[in-house]
Amino acid sequence: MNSFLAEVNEKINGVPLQRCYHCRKCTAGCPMANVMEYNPNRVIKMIQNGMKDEVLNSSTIWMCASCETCITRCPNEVDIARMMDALREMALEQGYAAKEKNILKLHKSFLHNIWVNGRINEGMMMVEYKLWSGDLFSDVISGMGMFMKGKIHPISPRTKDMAAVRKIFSETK
Amino acid sequence: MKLSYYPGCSLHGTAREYGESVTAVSAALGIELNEIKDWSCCGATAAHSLALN
Repeated sequence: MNSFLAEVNEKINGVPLQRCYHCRKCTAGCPMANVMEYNPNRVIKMIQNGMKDEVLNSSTIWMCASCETCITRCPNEVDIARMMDALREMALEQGYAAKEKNILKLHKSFLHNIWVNGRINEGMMMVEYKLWSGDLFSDVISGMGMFMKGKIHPISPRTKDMAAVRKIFSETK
Repeated sequence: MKLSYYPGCSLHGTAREYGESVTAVSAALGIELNEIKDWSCCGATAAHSLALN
């Protein structure tokens, strides 16, 4: 059986994680590092050490905002954002429970909104997220403020060629 | 000068101030922005985090 490191490298299908020499520039620049269970550099070390369950069960892979500051700064072109994608996919495929359940629900409402409309209507997406997560009242005050400033619309233009959008979904499954 | 322009979902919604500044700055520079016809969402973070089902 492949090592966890080999498994992740295969999924990343790019620069292998052995290229990391642990300079920690990724972690120094990461805007989410302070709320992560393990920082990005530590995740690479844990993968190198074969700590599969700890990594795939961690909140880190869900806290990553995919802003790509890490790969922008990495001197060895290790694509950490892509690594986080790969880890999220592996966690879901292999039946690990997402540590941050609501982040997974947010992503699901986001994609469902695109599947229905081709574009995001942020108001509708948030309603869907709140119904799925049961987190009904957080951010309601700022939501009202945004509505008053015309930033949230009950109705917004949809993509007309929905067949093309659905095709993207079916081809990327 | 005319440029094609892909605003994305947020520039019509929660980030409308960015859309407004882009339009204003472009106008000041003599650039006409033409929104791409019938665009769809780029997918953002959610689309590379997971598949829908």
